[in-house]
Amino acid sequence: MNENIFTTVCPGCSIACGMYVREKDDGTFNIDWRKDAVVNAGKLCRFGVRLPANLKAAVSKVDGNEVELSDAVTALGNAIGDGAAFVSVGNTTCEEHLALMKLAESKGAVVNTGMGAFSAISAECHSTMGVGVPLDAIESAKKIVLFIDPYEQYPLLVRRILAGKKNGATVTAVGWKAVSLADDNKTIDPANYESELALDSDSVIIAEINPSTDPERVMVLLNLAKASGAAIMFMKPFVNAVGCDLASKKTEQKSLDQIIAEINDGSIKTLVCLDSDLIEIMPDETAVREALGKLDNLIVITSRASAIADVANIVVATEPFYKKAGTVVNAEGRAVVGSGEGTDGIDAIGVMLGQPADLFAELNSAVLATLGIDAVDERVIPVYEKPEYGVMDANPTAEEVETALVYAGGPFFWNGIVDDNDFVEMNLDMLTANSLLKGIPAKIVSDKGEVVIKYKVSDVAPGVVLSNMKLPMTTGMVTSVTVSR
Amino acid sequence: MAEATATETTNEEWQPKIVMFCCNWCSYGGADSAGMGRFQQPPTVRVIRVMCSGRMDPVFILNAFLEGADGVLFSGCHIGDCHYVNGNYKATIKYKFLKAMVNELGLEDERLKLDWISASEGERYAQVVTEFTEQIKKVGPSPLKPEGVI
Amino acid sequence: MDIGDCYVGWATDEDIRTRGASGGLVTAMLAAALEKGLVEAVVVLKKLGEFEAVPIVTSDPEEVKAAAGSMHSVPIVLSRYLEYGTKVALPAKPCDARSTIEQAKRGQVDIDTTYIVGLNCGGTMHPAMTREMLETVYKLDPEEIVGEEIDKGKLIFETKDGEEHAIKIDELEEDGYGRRESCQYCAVNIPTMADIACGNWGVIGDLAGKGTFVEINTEKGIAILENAIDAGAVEITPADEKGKAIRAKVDGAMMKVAAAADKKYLSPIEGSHLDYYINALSDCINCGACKTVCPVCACGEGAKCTEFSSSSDTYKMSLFHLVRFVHLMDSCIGCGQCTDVCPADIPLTHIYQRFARPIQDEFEYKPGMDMTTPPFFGVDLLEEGH
Repeated sequence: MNENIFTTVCPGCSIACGMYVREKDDGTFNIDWRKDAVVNAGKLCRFGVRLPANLKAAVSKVDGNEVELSDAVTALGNAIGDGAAFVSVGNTTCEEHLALMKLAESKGAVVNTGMGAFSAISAECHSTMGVGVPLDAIESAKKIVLFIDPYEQYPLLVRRILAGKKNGATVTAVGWKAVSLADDNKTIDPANYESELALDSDSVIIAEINPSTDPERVMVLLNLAKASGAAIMFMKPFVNAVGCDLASKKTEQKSLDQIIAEINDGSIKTLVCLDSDLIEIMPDETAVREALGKLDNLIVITSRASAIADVANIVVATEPFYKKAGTVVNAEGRAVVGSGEGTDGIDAIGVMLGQPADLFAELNSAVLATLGIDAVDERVIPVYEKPEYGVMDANPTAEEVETALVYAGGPFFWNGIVDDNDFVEMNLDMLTANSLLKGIPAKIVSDKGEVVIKYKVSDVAPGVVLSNMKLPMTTGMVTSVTVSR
Repeated sequence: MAEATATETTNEEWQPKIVMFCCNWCSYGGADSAGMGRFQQPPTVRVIRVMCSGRMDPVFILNAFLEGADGVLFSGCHIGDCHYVNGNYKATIKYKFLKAMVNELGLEDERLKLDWISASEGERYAQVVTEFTEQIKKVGPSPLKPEGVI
Repeated sequence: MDIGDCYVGWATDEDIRTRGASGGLVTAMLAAALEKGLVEAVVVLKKLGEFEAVPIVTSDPEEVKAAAGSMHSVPIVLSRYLEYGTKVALPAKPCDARSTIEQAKRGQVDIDTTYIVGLNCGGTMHPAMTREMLETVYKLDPEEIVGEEIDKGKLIFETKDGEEHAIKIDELEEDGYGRRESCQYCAVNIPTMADIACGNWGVIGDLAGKGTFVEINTEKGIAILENAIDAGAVEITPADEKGKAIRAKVDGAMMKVAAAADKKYLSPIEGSHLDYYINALSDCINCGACKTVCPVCACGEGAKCTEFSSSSDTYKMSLFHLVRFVHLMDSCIGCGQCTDVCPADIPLTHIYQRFARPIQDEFEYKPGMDMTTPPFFGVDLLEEGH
C-alpha cells in the first residue's frame, strides 16, 4: 500500500505538462492530476492519462541476455571506441544529455539531436526555432495560425487556442485536415502565405519541427514571421527537445536520415542512442531496422522498453523518466524540474568519464548557466536572446502524388504506441471514389506492401489518407499509395 | 445499417429508417403474426430481436441514433406477462431515463417509443409500426444522422 | 453518546489545536483512530505548497497531524484513493462522503470499514483560478500567501507580512472568480451522510474559533469520536440549542445562495439543445480523463462508455459521452472533478448535471445521501408487486 509520489512532467511532447506519478512498491504506477501546474493547470491529454498502460520499464541487456545494470555499464565502457555516433533527440533531462555530450566530446564526436532543420538552417535562427512564445501569449493573440493539428499532435494547446478565441482571436488552420476550432481552414501554397494570411505583430504562428521536417518549410515559416512581425512557436514531439537543442552544438549535427545513410555506407560502426528510438521515430521502419543490423555495436541507454532496445547489443536501462533528477525545458523555454532523484544514466556515462565527483551538480550548474538562471522556477520563464535573422531563399518540395498516406504525428505516434489510433482518416469523396463501404476496412497499398485498416470519415484534404499510427508499408512522412476495398 | 455512399436523390416520398427492438417471446412473435395475417405496414422498420425488453441497453438505442436511425421503437410483453417475471418492468425504468435523456439532448420526443405487443397481436404490431412511421415522417430526418448516411 | 447528539469539541494537543482549523478536532480524531488501531490507514492531503496538495494514504499519525488545516484551493475528491478491505478513515467534504457511499453501493468500498469524518463545506477553488484572482483582483503575489479562510461571506488571504486581505465572495463570483461553478450551485453543505459531521458553524461564545461542532450520524461516528476521547486526544462538551440553531441557519443561507447559483448557471438552454451539446463536445480529444477521475464511476477499464466507443467513430456525437450522460443521470453528485481535468475545458459537470437533475427530481433521489440503491437498477421489484 506504500506509495512514492513523484512530481513530474508528462514525457509525451514538448509542452511538458505537470503531473504526479504515484508509484507502488511493486513498481507499477498511476498518474494523478497536478492542478497547480502552471503549464497545464493539471489537465492531461490521452497520452498522459494512459501513461501507466503504455510506459514499460526497460531491462538492461548485453547481447540479448538480461544483466545487472552495472554489468551493462561495464559492457558499454568496453564497446564505445572512437568513431561512435551519438543520438539524443530530447526524451531525457538536460543533465543526462549534457553527460552524453561530454562523453561524445571525449571521443571526438557530437551528440546529434536528429533535428535536421537545425543543422540546415543558419545559427542565428536557432533561438527562434528552439524557444517559442509563452503559452499565455496564444491566449492573448489577435490572430492564431496553425500549421499543426492541435487535437492530434499537441492536445494541450487546444484549451490555449480556445481561450485565445474567447478573447477575440481569429484562428486559421493550414494543414491536411480541417480542425473544428479554426474559424478558417485553408490550403495555401507556401509562396502565398504572406498575402493570404495577412499577419501582424499581434499574431502567433504555431508550427512543428520534428526529425522529418523539411528545413525548407521551416525557412518559409521563419520568413513569414520575419516579414509580418508575428511571433512564431515551433512545437517539438519530444519532451525536452528544446532543452537538448539549447545544450547542443547544432551546426555540426547530422539529421537522422544522414546517420542512417552513414551506417549504410559503413562510416558509422557504433551508434549510441540515449532515449531515442530511431525505429519508432523514423517513418520507414524497415529501412531503419536494416541499417541498424549493419552496425557492429548498437548501444541503447533508455528509460523505457522500446523497439530499439530489442535489437540493441547493449541496453543500459535507467530509471523511468519520472524518477530522473534534472531539468526539462519545454516549448515555451520554461524550465521545470521534477521531484525525482535518479541519476542512473548520468552515473553510467560518468563511469566512462572517469567517475568525476559530483557529476550531477556540475552538469546541473552548466544547464542553469546555459539558461542564464540561478535556480529553476517553473513560474518564471528564463529570458532568451532571439537574434535577428535574414530572409532565406526557401523552396519547399511539394509532394506530387495522387493519393498520399500522410502521418499526422502526435505523442502516440512518436512513441510507437498503438492506442486508439489504429485507423486512417479520409474524406467522403475518397470513400466514394474508391468504393469503400461502411464497416469494411480499407486496403492501402504502397510500393513496399499493403495494410488493411479501419478508416474514419473526416474533413481531410482531397487525396490524403491521414494516419496517426506507424504503418509498415510507408517510406516517409508522405507515401504514395492506392486505396481500395 | 446504411451504406456510407451517396446515392441519387429521387422524388419519392422520404422513407424514415426505424430500428425496432422486439423481445423474443412476445413482440417478435407479434411481428410474425402481422406477416402471417398479411396486415399492411410500411417498410421502414428494421427489427432486431433481443431476448427480453429488459435486455435493452441504453447503448443500443443511443448507437442506433448515432448510426442514423430516424426513430427507435422498442417493445416487449405486456406488463405482467414477461417471460422473465419483471424484465419489462425494468424496461420501463430504463425508458424513463432514456426519455429524459433524449429530451435534454434535444432530439424530438417522438423519435423514441416503448410499446407492449404480445405474440398474438399481429394487427396491433402493424398498427404500432404504421403510427410510429407516420409520427417520424412528421418530424423528418434525425439531426444526429451522420454525413453520407441515407 | 447516541446518534443525533451534537457536541463541540477540540484537540487536547496544543500544536494540533493551533495548526488545525477550529480547534483541530478532526485532525486529532483521525490521528487517534490510527494510534489506537481503530483504522489501519487515513487518507489525507499532503501539503506541497500553498495551493497544492496531493492525497496520500498513510498509517503514520504524524503525517495526519501535518495535514491539519483547510485548503480551499485543492479541489480533490478523496474517495478514489480508498481501497476495499482496508480499515480506513477519511476527512470528507460532502462530495467526498457522497462519492464514497456511491462507491460502496457499487462494491468498491466496504462501508463497514470506512469511517467518513464529514466536514462542512462552502465550496472550493481551482488553484489556477486562485492564482489569477490573487494577481488581478487582490493585487497580491500568490507566493506571498501564507493562509486563507472563508468567514462571513468573505474570502480572506493572509500574506507573509501578517496582513489580511478580504473580498466578498459574491463580488468575486460576479466577476467569474471565486468558487468553482459546481461548488456554487452545490446545496449540500453539511455532510449529513457522513458518520460524523464536523464544522465551525454553530460554535459560539467563548469557544468560537477554538472548537468544532460535531453531529453524530452513525454508530461508526460514535466509535471514532469515543476512540479519540478515550485516547485523551479530544475533549467535548454538549452543543447548546442556540449553536444548533445558528448552524441550521448558516446551512439554510448557504442553500439559498446555491439555489440562486442554480438559476444562474443551470437555467434551460435557449435554442437547440442538440447544437449546444454537439458544439460543447466538439473539442473533446478522447483523453478519457473525465471518466478516470469520476468518483462515482466504478466500471474500471472495460466500461461500456469506452469499450463501445472509439476515436475512429464517425458520429455527430461521441457514444462515450452519450453513455456517460445516461450513466451519470442517477449518480452524478456534481463534484466538478471532470471539469477540472478536461484538457479542452468542456464544462462537463455542468452538462452531466443538466441531464441528471430532471431524473433525480422525478425519482426524488439524491445520489450518495445514504446506502439506498439507485433507481435505475435497484428498484425493489418484488416490493413493487412485480
